[in-house]
Amino acid sequence: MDIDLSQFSQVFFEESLEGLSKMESELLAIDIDNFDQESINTIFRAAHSIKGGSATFGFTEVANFTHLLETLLDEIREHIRPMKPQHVEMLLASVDVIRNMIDALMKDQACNDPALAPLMKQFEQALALGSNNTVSAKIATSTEPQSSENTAAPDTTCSVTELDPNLVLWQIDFSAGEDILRCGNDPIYMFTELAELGQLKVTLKDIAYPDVDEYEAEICYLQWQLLLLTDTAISRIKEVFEWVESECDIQFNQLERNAKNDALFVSPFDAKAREEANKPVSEDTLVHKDAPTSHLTESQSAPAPCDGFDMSSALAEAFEQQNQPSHQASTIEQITSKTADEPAEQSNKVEDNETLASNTSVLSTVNEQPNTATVTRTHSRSTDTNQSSIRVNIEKVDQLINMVGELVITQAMLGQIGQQETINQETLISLRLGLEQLASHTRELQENVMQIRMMPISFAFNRFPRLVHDISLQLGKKVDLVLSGEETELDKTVMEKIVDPLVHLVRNSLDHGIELPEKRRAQGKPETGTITLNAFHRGGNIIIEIIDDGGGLNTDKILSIARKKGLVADNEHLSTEEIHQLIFKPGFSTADNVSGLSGRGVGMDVVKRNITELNGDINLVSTPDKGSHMTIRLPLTLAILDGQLVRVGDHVYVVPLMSIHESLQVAKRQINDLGKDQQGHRQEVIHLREEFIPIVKVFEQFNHQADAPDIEKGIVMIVDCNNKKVGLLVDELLSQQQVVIKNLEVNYTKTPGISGATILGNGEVALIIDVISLTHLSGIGHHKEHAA
Amino acid sequence: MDVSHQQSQATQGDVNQQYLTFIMGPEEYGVEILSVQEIRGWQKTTAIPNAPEYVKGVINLRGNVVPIIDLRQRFGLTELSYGPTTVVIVVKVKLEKNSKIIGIVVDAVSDVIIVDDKNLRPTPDFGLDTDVRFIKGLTSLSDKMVIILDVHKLLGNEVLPSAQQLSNIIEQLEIPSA
Repeated sequence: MDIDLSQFSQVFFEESLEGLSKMESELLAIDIDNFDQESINTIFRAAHSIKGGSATFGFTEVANFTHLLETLLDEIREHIRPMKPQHVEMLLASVDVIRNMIDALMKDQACNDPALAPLMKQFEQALALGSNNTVSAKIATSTEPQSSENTAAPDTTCSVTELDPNLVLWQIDFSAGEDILRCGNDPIYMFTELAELGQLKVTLKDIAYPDVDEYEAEICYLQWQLLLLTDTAISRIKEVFEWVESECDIQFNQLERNAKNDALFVSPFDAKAREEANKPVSEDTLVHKDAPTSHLTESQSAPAPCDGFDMSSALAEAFEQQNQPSHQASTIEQITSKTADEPAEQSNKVEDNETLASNTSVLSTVNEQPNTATVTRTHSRSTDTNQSSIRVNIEKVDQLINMVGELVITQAMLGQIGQQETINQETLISLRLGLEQLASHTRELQENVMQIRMMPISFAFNRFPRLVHDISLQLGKKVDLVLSGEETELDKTVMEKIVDPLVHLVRNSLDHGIELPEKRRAQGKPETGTITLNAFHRGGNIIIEIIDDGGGLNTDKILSIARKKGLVADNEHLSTEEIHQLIFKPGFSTADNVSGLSGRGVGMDVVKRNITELNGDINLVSTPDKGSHMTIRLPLTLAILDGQLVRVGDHVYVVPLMSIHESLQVAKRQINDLGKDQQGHRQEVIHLREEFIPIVKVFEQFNHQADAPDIEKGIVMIVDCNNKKVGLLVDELLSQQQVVIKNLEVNYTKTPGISGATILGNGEVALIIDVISLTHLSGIGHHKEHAA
Repeated sequence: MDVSHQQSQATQGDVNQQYLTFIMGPEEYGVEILSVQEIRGWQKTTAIPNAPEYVKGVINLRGNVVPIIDLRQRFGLTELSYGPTTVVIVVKVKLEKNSKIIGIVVDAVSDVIIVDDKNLRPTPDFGLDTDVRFIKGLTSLSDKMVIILDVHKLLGNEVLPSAQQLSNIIEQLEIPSA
């Protein structure tokens, strides 16, 4: 029965995180005064599945906490409790806490979020407060074990004092076969089913049970007497036991309906139960009732008044012993073991005036997942938490399978041609046809595989409503966030790396961009500022725009700070655009006050660096009092690159096609010599269409032997390096092709001037030139920065 | 090395380790066989710009880009021209967090030996200035000495003694075996 659940826990983590994001976005969308029932349902469902999942995997902490959430949500859902603003805040805070818990679980660490305990208390208070007793009775927590006392099962909801005389009373003596649990049958299910047919009394028979020492967990020793008051035909009742008939001893007797018998179904508690009946009971906060102590004793001695849905007092006792708010993690074996032990301990137990609630979902989970929490934990420790995975649309997978099918057909066709003895004109034509097909299929396959790595950018955008909500509250600003192009897809790796820079930029816009409402009003702008996040595809790139209608960049302030910090010389004159670029310099910050949000001078340079590392770039346009507009350009994927193959001496390199402006041969008169640098390399610039472009001689930087050491004899590729033009001197341009990027650092180290490697058609490795780092290597970029 | 001797050692259990030995110059070296992925012939490499001289470049090993290191040059021995018998031992080097696959060029592969840890003599002390942790120990086979290398320290460690220092160490190692 041991199933290693830890293999699924990764799925649970992912689903939970997804659920949390969903909860978060719904919570943020809620309008307190006029909220949509459906959005409450969505939040509830998310919380519910996290609870269920965490219970299954034995993450009791998460389950317990989510249970509180769920209880509150359920009451809101059922209109027992009005939705209040503080509820939204509490729920949002708990989303964070759960996320931290799950993070900790993923890393196999103990979760000790300081926010958890106060938040739990808050929830408990909120649940206990402001509502009638029936509500508080529903909270099944260890702190309020008494509160669950009065809860009833649905079958007691009918009027019990006036029992319908047409109902038939059945007495069922049920001795479970020893192997019943091993066969996967569970009396609890049968009893639950019976309870649906009418009113049920379950009494555990007082028989001789084996000693604790001899007792075997998987054997069911129990015998019950069931009393069922129902209008259902006996055949239907027998159906319930259909599967266990052969191995169990079951006797059906119809009892006389008389006052004494009827009295069994009318216990003093039923009156209360009826009150409770009006209270909505959610599908899984349904708490089944345990007999108060006095009845427990009675139930042992004789079939005495017991309550509506008494599974077996022993079972409840088992729950009680655990003394935890929920028991999802306990196993059915444990429960039965306790059940069997129980009669022996009964005398002591009855003294305990404790009743305990558990919910029906517990029962089902318990049986389906017989792994204990401890088992799951130990296994999960061994799993690699660093593994990341992707959830892929099944359609995409189907497409791939199709494609592979096509590929197999083409392969068979080519194989057939290969088997032929002679090659004539006809076979040659079909060979070419086959190769063409192969080429197109390979390309399609490649595109489709790339598609799998693609995720809609909403994964990155989704966190922003929350961020904006929290920060604007904190800053006392009114901000609307507009998201568009959320369905735009980009590579998962790129996505992961762009999230932090985006967060930084949005925070900056909130902190520095959008003005306070008073100031905005004074300027004749609407009080509420707008931040727009927009994403779209252009060429082989994805463009992400962050637009705010705030104050824009304060050029004078930027310049004065830059001067103060020595980033710009006093006599230097900069264009507005150049001043804007200053904010990307390390150590630059314009914030008057260093706040928790931004202003510590780290940020924009990190943003810029991160984006450059992804082969992208960032542009900024700002208009005073109108706002600023940032544009991030990123390649769609990091795995494949359109490359220009170039030859330098005996060596072949790949230059990203994206960065090449043009390639040309330069006449001698265009070349200006600037003398030698420290390394003895001649520094030269070419004069091209009113521009002076510095030349990087690739062979010099890489210490290769070139065919043509002179610029006029080689080929100059004008490439883009941080928005500046640089010429790379190479010997020859070879073909252009798509190359698959392989990481050189996996087995070697980072190499200046090289961003990675690829494997060419002939199986040889070619290195990919990193234009920016190569320019740096040559010292040109260095000088440029000083000049700027 | 007789076979029965090998087997009797093998049955002793956990302290026995198998080593792949190879020849380079006058010496025989050994590396843990578990770290060896494969042995292949020399193939043309793609040079890495500005890499140390002993890094011969990278090759495509079934889709992986694997650097090739000439151990001869690394140990400060005279360079040999590569021929059809030149052998590349591809080893998996375990580092703190990850592992790297690296090819090492040696003169020839020799044998697989089983050495009891007891029979592994510690590396002689060469003074504090030289780091010899890359040598796991020395062992003698009949009358020959085998230098057992710790590939993880040899190839994973960024601060290794220079080639000159290494060649001195190798020379000094001769003395105890003589």
